[in-house]
Amino acid sequence: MSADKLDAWLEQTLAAQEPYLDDDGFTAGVMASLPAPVSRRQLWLANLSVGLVVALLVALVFPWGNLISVLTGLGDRAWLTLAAAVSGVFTTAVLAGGYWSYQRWS
Amino acid sequence: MELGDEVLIERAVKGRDRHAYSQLVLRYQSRLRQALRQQCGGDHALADDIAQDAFIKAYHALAGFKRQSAFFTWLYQIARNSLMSHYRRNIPTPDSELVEHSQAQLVSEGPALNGRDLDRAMVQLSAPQREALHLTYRLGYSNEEAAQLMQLPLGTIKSHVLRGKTKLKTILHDWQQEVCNERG
Repeated sequence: MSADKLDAWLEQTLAAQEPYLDDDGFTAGVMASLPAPVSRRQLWLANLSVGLVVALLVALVFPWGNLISVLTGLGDRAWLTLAAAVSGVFTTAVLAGGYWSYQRWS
Repeated sequence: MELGDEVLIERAVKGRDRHAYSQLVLRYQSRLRQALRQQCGGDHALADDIAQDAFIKAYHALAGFKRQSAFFTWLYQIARNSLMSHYRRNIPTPDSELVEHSQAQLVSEGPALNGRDLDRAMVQLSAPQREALHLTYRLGYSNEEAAQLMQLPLGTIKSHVLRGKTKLKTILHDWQQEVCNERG
């Protein structure tokens, strides 16, 4: 084969379509390795569980003993700020837990 | 009617439709496995493992797929990163036996070249040369796209393509000469 012919052959063969590889169970193998789908009920229960755990943790660290004296000593504005902060932390924790479980199990 | 990638991705992400994702796997499994086989120097089992791993990673990351590129381009990048990680963990040794076997097979089969001869000659190229040739010729990517996929400068890709082709020509020419000499 001359240099020109070899060159042309190489260009043509390099660009040729590859033969289709039979799936031969490949797709089934991939699908079997994916996490099992979770029902909406299971997801809802998981979110609820995370929410309860977070609520329990907040309840454990909250200064219940000083609550009355702290609350009566607070001015209106400070009381509102505290309430907003506590609910903000709680809401963020619940949302983060829900998002995490959604990503993990969905 | 065959659904487009966009629709299948949408169904897989929003509708949690596993069947839609299985259609994507079925559609691209051959192309991805072929591309990886080229880069694994003939180790088909490794190529298939990496391809499977890439499809699984792509499934988990599908919600974050920005659609700035085609699905296969994105999938290929995932597979390529997996392969690079694999090679970083297990540094490959040059498979001289495979090369010698390829040469011996070609010599025994005569001077007429065919696609399999090209595959055997490709084994002797460096991994970046093989990948650059595969991306630009077989998969039809432009040099710019190949540069992006391989995360290399454009000039380097052009150089890999040019040097790869030159090396292939030399190898194939030498093999033919050997056959002609043996036949006297």
